Amino acid sequence: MNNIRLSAILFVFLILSACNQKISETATAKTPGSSIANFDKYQIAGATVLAFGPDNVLFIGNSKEAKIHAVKTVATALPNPVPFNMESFDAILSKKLDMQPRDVIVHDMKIHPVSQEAYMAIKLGHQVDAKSVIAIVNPATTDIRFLEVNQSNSTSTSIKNPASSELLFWKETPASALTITDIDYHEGHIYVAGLSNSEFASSLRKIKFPFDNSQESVNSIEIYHAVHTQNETRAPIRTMLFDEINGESTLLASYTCTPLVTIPAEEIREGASIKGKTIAELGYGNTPIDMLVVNTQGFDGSITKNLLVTNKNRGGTMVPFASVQAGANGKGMAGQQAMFAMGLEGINEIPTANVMQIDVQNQQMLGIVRRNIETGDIDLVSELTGTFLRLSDFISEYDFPDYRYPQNQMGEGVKQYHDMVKQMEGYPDLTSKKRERN
Amino acid sequence: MNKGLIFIIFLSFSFVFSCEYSKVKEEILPEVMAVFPSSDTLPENLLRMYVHFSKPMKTLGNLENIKLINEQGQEVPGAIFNNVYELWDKEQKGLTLIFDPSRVKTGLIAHEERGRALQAGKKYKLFIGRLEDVEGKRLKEVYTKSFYITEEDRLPPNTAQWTIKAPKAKSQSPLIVQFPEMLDRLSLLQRLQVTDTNKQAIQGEVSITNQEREWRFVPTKKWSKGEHILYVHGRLEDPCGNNLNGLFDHKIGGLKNEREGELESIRFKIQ
Repeated sequence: MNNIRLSAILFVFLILSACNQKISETATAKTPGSSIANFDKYQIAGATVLAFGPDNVLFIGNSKEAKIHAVKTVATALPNPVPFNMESFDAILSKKLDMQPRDVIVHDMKIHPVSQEAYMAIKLGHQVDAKSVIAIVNPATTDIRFLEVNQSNSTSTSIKNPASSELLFWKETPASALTITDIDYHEGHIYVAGLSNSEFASSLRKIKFPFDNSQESVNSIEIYHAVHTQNETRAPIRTMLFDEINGESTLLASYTCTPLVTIPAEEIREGASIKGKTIAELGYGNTPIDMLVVNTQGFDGSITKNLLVTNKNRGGTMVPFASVQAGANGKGMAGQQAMFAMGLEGINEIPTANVMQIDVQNQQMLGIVRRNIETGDIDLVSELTGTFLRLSDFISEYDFPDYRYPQNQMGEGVKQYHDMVKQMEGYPDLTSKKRERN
Repeated sequence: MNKGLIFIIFLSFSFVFSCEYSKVKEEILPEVMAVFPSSDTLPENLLRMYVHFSKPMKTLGNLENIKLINEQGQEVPGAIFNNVYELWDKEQKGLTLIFDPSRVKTGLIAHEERGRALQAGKKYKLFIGRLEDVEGKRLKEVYTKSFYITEEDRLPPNTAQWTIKAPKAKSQSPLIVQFPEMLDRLSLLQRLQVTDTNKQAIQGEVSITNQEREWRFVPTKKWSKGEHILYVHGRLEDPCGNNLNGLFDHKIGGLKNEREGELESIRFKIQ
């Protein structure tokens, strides 16, 4: 009997040790958002691209279902500009979602034009059926909440295949996929740029908003090559924006191979075959991420309007908008034989390496999602427009305890700038006044 | 030792074995199933390749581990276009690779300064490192596809050069369409359509064979006798991005049609 008892204990021990690993794996794998009440109502099939439109409407590009959702957001204006200082944001968000940071995928971020909150398209894991949520981050409280996309006043529309004759031919094979790469709202329409995993065509769709089931697709956009004036190609738009150029609404489009192209907005209509004017090449071996208009202030207080393009493989590109206008008024690069110029006057590189997403936050700041190369984490931070850097990323002689700013106008200017930025970046203790007191 | 003890020990081992076996079973690792174009001779202006995996893969951060390797065993930097979005199919099993279009196209600064990544007369390897599937399991092994590069392909696909082998009526034999050059696999899967003379689509299964030089269509119902139409969409491409309407990299005014995507039709008889 003792033997049997002993072997029964052995049996249980062996079972436990053999299956221990499996049990522990099961115990730690939680469902995303399991500690958030009614988390299901925030989840949608896919969300990759965001854009704000009129009346605080958020457009959500859902590549997985080829849909655009439009959700009315409720927002309260922030009385003062408040920066984001959320380093290791992926760790903060993943903790809230009961997930591992590596499984939380940030696809896009846009700043709410009224509340200055960051709206972020987040994919919950890597699985084929992984859902997405829109996380809303408040810069003042650092609270994270989620947007209920399928609320009563939200609407959506499906991205149709261009031209009825193509309906027959664009088969819904699992192999084909259209990735929405950008959405922009302009005068009653949203414009949707996409990238197909098969044909290298320029696809640009114009969808009336509020949605009424009507949709226009341009047939083709040809862009000139910069160096040899006689060649052109079809190519997909990667990122775009609308602005006035000499009183004319114009689409500024950046391509997957980085030419910058202008297209008059009125040419974008059903079935149009458009010739885009290449006004610049922004550097090769690169793909643009975001394009935005930013105003910078000079030492004399003057304001300059600029076009800013962030890039995946290099620092950002900034060019005065006046140069863009001059380029759009000229013949474009197709009229130039030379290849030494990039096309526009005053193209500058700015230090936005590792920036994954960027948007204008307020008059002074840009909201940024970046990969921190020191920690490897994803940060949600703000930077001053104009300097495009975070002082706290650097250690310089200014940080030495015995450093004294020169007693002149320049020294005073640098001191004031440092004090302002240290406060903004969450280091008020390091401002010069506090240091002198200590 | 009594019989009861032997029996319990046997039970223990069989349980442990089954636990271990189930662990082994879970450990089936992802693999590269195929790379397209399947040919090992490819043109210098190649724009696109597809990689097919046995399991759904993570859709981010893979391009750092996919490299073009030259004859000296060195990586050709900047060959494969590192997009913000990786281009995966819906099942996350098929990845589209694009050779940097600004180098493939002539007349852009990148082309002028760096030339094409692929040079005619040379051999290359596409190297796929140990990418992760959705569960974090790495590819069973690295994968390489070796190929030889020939002169650029400056001939757009031309339906006049296609051969159609019509099946017999009342059979379910395949309709076979043969091309003198390889065409793009995904384009072939979605840009050809068989209809009757009333433009009613014939349903069936498509397969791509003979290194993307042959399209086979097996109908779900038997073929009926009479005239049929094979519609070809003008956006049908070869792997260099040339389509029925003209070259990817064309002279101004060099396209056949101002409008892209016009349909071409080929009539054939089933007897």
